[in-house]
Amino acid sequence: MGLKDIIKYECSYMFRENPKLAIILLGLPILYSLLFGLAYNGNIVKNIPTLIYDQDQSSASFAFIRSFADSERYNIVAQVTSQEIMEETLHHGDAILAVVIPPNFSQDIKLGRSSQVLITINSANLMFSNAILGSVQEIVQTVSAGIGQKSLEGLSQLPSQALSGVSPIRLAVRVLHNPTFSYSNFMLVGLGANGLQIAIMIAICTILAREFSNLSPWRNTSPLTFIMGKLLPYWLCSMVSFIISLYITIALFQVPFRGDIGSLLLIGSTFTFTIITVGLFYSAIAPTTVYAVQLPMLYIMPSYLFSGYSWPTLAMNDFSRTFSAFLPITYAADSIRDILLAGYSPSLLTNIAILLIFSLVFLSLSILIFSLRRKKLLQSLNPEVSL
Amino acid sequence: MNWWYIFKREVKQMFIKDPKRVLYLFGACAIYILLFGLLYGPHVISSVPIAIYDEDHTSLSRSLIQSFNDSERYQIIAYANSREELEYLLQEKQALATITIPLDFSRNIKTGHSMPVLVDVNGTNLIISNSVLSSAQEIIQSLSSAVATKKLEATGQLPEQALHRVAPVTLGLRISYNSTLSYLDFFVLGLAMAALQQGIFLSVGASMIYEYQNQQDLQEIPIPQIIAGKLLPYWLFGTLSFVMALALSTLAFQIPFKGAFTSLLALGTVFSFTATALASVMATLCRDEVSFTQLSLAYTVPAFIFSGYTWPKHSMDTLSTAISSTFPLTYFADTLRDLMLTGHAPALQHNILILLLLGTTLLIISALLYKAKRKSLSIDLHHAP
Repeated sequence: MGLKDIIKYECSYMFRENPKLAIILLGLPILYSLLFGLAYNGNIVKNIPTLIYDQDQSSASFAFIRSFADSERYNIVAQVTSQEIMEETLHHGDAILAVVIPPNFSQDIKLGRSSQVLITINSANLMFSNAILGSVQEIVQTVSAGIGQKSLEGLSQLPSQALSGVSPIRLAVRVLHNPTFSYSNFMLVGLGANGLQIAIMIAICTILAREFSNLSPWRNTSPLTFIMGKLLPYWLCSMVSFIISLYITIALFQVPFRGDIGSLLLIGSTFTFTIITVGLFYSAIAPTTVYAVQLPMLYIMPSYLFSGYSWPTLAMNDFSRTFSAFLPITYAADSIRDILLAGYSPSLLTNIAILLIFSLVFLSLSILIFSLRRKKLLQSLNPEVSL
Repeated sequence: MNWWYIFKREVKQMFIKDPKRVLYLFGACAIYILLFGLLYGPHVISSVPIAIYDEDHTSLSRSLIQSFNDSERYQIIAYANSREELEYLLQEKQALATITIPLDFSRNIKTGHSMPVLVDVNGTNLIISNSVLSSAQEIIQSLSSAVATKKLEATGQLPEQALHRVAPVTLGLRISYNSTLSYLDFFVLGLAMAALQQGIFLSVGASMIYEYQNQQDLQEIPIPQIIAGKLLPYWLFGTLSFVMALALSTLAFQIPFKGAFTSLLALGTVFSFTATALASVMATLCRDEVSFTQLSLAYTVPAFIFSGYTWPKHSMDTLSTAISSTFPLTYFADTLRDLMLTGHAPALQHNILILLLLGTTLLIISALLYKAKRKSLSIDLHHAP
């Protein structure tokens, strides 16, 4: 039996006999893209519940509060009148941050004494604290510079001179590739790649395991032909999934696409191929189909977080870095995001080369193990057959 | 034969006959704590590679560079000699941020102009860009105030007075509960609980599916007794695994343990109950253990993402909030972190109640499904030749 027969056999198995496989492979990554796109649809953390405790009640303090009210990042949920109520509200989780304006705020400023605004953040969820930290510094700085400028103008300096007097050095930040700090730009590509590898793994891990109980039709086919024939339909389907789920991410959830399709397809096809060979490997070594689907879990579940996609490689210790180096997604997710957001991935070719090496190793191991197991099984079957 | 018999039979099965069940129940979440405890061991991002292009070469520009050099957050990997070189380093990701100090920086400041320091950040990874943004603001701000103060002092003002003039409003920041903004404290508990849920799923699934494949064993026993006897061990051991996970995360990784043990135990117990009941329902819907595993693997990631543990529920739209509210993890993970880090979870009682309701409903459904499935399986059995 040739390659074509095996491909036909596998296609009819995954689409007709056990259509669940096709549904997993084609449906799951797409469902994931839709779900996660929906989850991060808010893009940035906005309307953070904010508490104001204004002990001064002056026009200066009102102006300060207005800068919080004007920012869409904050949503003032209450003005409180005592420290206790403030602590209580924060404690009960009704507000994430509290802004305390001290008594004599405006008077201190007028008299040339500086006054401190106290901001308390509930940092149990870092998403909130990260969003707050960046903008709160900016707000306080802007207000402070405005007041400082006025005070220097009082010393008969010109307005522009006065401003540069209070803030001679300015920070001009240019955040490239994701200037709005959009969470979907940051997360969706990686979650998509992760969803794809989960789908491939749980679909493919039974591909060889189920054949061990039914070897006879293929006994004369070479292991290489057999495995390639089984693998190709899955590869094709996973590429279709890859393209559709990326399309959803870009078209529906507005993640920018600045790179070229060629590199994207190249890394996508190498990545899916590698994951398929890893799945094959698990399938070849697993004693039963149940193990074949449960073993990869050990490997897939932590792999996304170890890939350097969110927690960067530069912040990993030696153990994590080594572990990370053995995960295929390490060489794919970050590169795909670079291609989409930056239009260019510096390590694209290196990553593709590494992935190819991975897939060659896993492919040869799978073929080797499969042919050994098949030989053994056929030998143990043979006496019965000859009877 | 009653539920106690089934209970004992179940414990024997999970420890001796099919030990992978006990392995999943205790192992999944312990491994997650170890793995992610190691991954997030550094707590915060430090040594972000940056490149500097100093066009000014004065003592002021050097002291600016020095402040970046002194910060643990940064590691200066190159001093570029041209704009092109700087851009190249940024593009090739050798540097994740670049700092440009413009020509005549120092001179313009002396003559009373305000000058920008240009910071370019690669924004693809938010963890890095967030960290760079807030620390760069701090560094530039403190240098700017120092320079401004010095200039005013030169006009004959007292140092203190001058400082007050340039920075009339200062920011006092109090970051409560996770004051170092540690990723370890933020993340690991929730990941471990997702793994705990997975462990409960897989072991309960294996147990229920075994029963469907060996119908004859318990044919005569009333269904409530079967369900109680079979699920109770997983509920109990799931809770034990939860307690051990908390101990491990606190002892090995110093995750704060501020909440009352009773509240934590109550929360863990009801979650373990709900997860057990959910797994039992899911198992009835699956043909065999392979399908069950596939379903539970596909379930895990969305359940975690939608739980509000990282991306807050507050920032989800109506549809996402609705999806989120269907996952038991939503009522558990965030509340657990609140208890552990802050010692108080406002939604504790509310969430325990919801989990309890959800769990009870699922338990009843699972008993009904069991009944239906037993009937259909026994018909198959009788019709078999």
